[in-house]
Parts: sequence; structure tokens; C-alpha cells
Amino acid sequence: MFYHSDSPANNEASENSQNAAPIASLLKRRNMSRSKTVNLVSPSITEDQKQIPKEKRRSTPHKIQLCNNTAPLSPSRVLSQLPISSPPTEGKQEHSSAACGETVSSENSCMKREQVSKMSENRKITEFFSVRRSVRKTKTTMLKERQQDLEEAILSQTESGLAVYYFERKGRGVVATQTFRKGEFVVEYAGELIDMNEAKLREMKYAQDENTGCYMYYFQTKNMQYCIDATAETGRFGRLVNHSRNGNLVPRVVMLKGSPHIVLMAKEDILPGGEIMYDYGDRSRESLQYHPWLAS
Amino acid sequence: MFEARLVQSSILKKVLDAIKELLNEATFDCSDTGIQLQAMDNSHVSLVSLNLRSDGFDKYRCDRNISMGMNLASLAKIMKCASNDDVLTMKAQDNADTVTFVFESANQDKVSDYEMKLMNLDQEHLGIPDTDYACIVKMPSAEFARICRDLAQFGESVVIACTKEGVKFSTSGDIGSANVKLAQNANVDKEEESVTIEMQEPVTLNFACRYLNSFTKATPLSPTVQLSLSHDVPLVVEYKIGDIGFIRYYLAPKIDDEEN
Repeated sequence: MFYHSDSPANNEASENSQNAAPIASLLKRRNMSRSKTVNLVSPSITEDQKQIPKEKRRSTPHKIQLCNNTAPLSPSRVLSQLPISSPPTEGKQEHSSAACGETVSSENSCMKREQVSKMSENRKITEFFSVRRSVRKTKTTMLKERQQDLEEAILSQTESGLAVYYFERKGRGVVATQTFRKGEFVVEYAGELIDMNEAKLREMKYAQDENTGCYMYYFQTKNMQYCIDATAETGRFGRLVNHSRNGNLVPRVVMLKGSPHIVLMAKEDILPGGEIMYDYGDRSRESLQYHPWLAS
Repeated sequence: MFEARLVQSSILKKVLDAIKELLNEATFDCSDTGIQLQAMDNSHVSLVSLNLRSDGFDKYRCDRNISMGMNLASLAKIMKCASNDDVLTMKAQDNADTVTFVFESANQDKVSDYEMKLMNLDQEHLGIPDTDYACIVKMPSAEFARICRDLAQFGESVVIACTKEGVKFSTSGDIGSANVKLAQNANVDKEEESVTIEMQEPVTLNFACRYLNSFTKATPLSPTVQLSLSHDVPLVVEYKIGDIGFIRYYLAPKIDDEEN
């Protein structure tokens, strides 16, 4: 609070205005400000001080007050008599008024100041409720939002920013046509979710035909072994993504409505034109024997 | 994409009337749970918190969270163009810098739409802690509005004193003093006319009348109002908005003379 000024004059003044009823204090202030104006003009007159009531004299020690002003004035009279007025004498506004003695033309602006000073007695709501410094989210909300984004991507089956490209030596592959930032969803490994027994049966079936590629994605989640079979030709891109032991994608399991899905996320920033690849993770000797490219 | 349809467009009109005296502009935060607004008045003495749940709307869709900063005077101009029985639809694209208000007349033969530019507001969000209030007063909202209006004539601040017997609003000023006492009365016939007090301990607090009067602009939203008080924490004035949400006003107490 700005009442606690060191200057005795300020303290007196603010006390004076606080104790009095608002309108009365307004009048008193006007008196004081007037006397101050006189003071500026003729600083040498001092005898009149004796005729001023004590309380008034204390409030501004060096002032000169015309004795006929000690009786309370009607607001209109004050206005007519006072072309120059200082802002309310409380605290910090004191010095500015002394310095410039600004002209106040209407009752209204004085009332406004009064209101401002009154309002400062009110506490601020920020004293009770702390400001959240930023719109930072907690980790749990971040994760929740991420999960939501992923679910949305899976449900909408988006495959934007990708194109199938035919490579001379290895056949089909998928390239990015837009930039993917690290950690962003790129594509889902879409296929048919089957259990291990079914997977074994299908493996046997597929093994009979040499032309069948390997599109079985085995993974484990929540202590359950699953397989996504993407052998069937679909328009989806996830199944066409090639293998690299240090690819630019990383697979993740996302649970959606109780069933697991495999999504491929960008491990690093991927630029347009770059082929997207991930590690198939098959290191078994048998596989390497038939598919030597798994080692690269 | 954001889209919210409200059969009673008058609700939004009333909400706007309830906040526009305190706030010049505000950000409407839309998420899939609904529309929220939190803002302080210019002097940072009071806080408005508005919540409209998504299930209260007739149709609600919000794919991505969006914050729509609006000039409330402009919004008031738009809402003035709607009749009370119009059906209102608010629409905004993701990352859009405008919001569209569509008003359909009840018999569907007039459709008007208004597009408003959005503002980027630098807003501060306050964390409001859960508080067990010492006194919770429920009373008719019109009665509360009346008391605030009457007492504002006498002084700038109102002392609210709450005991088990009742709640007392008092003020004093140049012309004298004023006291209004309300006794607890459980009116069984009309629940919204009853005054009920849940009290843990008696509370006496001092508030600026001006703000209370601004809060009572929400009176048309609800027949009852709930005041929650505790020593040395902001007063909460809550109006329910049908079964769609609520508007809460928080008001910091005035500094007591003894403390000063």
C-alpha cells in the first residue's frame, strides 16, 4: 500500500482523507490544494497559519491557508473557486501534483481519482490464486493427448505424405513426400490381428508358396503374443515399408478399443524423398539364411 | 473443426450480459468437454469462470482444442441480431482466425450467419484451489441482486456476516448505514425461494459493492445464487446455467482496517 510513505506530510494527508467521509475529504483536499497554489505564488506569508485549525495545519506543514476557507464549502463553490487542483493527496501522487499542478476541469475526473484510490484498498485476486505461468501441460495430459492423436490417426486410416516407390533391387518401398518430425506418427502397420495358433497355421500355408513375402508382424503386449498378418494385398502402405537395421522409423503398440495396433513413428526427422524404413527385428539364423538382407 | 449448436440462443445472450460489464474481451477455450472461459477484470480484483459442458449442447463437436479470443462488445453486437427463440450454431475451423455464428429462426425460414474476427489475447490463467468454505449460502438470485443494488446506494463496500441464524449484509456511508438480514428459511413449496445456510464457522468479510453489482448481471441465468465464504479467501458467487454449466465469480476481499 502506498500509504506507508516515509514523508510525514504524506502520512498526515492520507490519514486525513481516510478518516473523513468521502465527499468531505474531497472538499478538504480541495482546500489544501488551493492553499498550495497560493503557497507557490507567495511563499513568504506565514501569519495566517495561526488562524487555521490545528488539524489542517498538521496535514501540510508549510502551507498558507486563507482563514475564510476553513468552513466547508459546497461542491459547486469549490469548483468555481478552484481552477487548479492537485490529485488526491494520498502517497505517491503527491509529488506529481506539486510538480505540475495540473488543471482539473470537472468534478468528474476528481471522482474518478477518488475511485482509483478506493479500489487500491481491495486485494487482488492474484494474491489468492496463483497465475499459471504458461500453458504447459502436465506429463499425463501430454500422454493422453498423444494417445488421442494416435487413436485418431489409426481410426482415420491416414496415409498422407507417403508414396509407394519401386526400387530396382529390392522392389517396392515407401518414401515420404512431406517432412515428418521426430516422434510423429507416420503410418500404421495395418493388417489382420490374429493369435499365435492362427499365425502358425498361416505361416505353414504361406511357406508353400515361395512368392509370398513376409508380412507377419509378431509382437508382444500386455503379456500376450499377437501377430498382424498383412500378407493380403491391400492399398495400405504400412505393409510395404522396407527393413533397415538402422531405419528412420520405430514401431509402437497402441491399444485402441482393447485391441492392439502397430504404428510406425518417426525416429528422426524425415525429409521429403527419403525412404521410410524400420527394423524388422528378426535376427534368427534361419531367417538370415533365407533373407540375407535382414542383416543390413 | 469446432461446432456447437444451442437451441436456446438466449442462454448465450444472458451469459454475455453476465460477463460484459466486467470484461472487455475474453478467450473461450473449446475442448471436447465443452467451452470454458476464465478471465480477470482489468483491476485484477475479480475473476470470472464460465463452464458450458459439451453434453448441454444439442450438438457439439470439437476435434481439436481451440482458443477463441473475442471482443465482447463485438460479440454483443452479433448476439443482438438473434431473436430469443433462434437456434444458434457456433462454428470455427481448426487454426481459423474467425468464428461464425449461425442463427436459424424457429420455423427455419430465416437463416443468418455472422462471422467475427478472433483476437489473440495474452491471457493469464489462474489455478483455483479446491476450498472447503466455512459458509455456503443459497438464496434467490433476485433477492441478492436487490440487496446489492440497495446497499450500493449507501457505501462502496459491503460487509457480509454469516452465522447459523442467517446472513447479514451491511454497509455505511455518507448518509448513514444500511443493514439487510436474511434468516434461514427452508421454503418447502418453492425451493428457489428459500434461503439455506451451510455453516462450519461464522464468517465476516468485506467486499467492494461495485463488483457484487456487476456479478448480479447474471441473475437472469438462474433463480438461485450460491455464495461461498471463508475467512481471508475470495468470495465465490455461483449461478447455475440450466443443466449446461455454471458461471462463477470470485471476488477478493477488501483489506480490513485492523490489518492495515
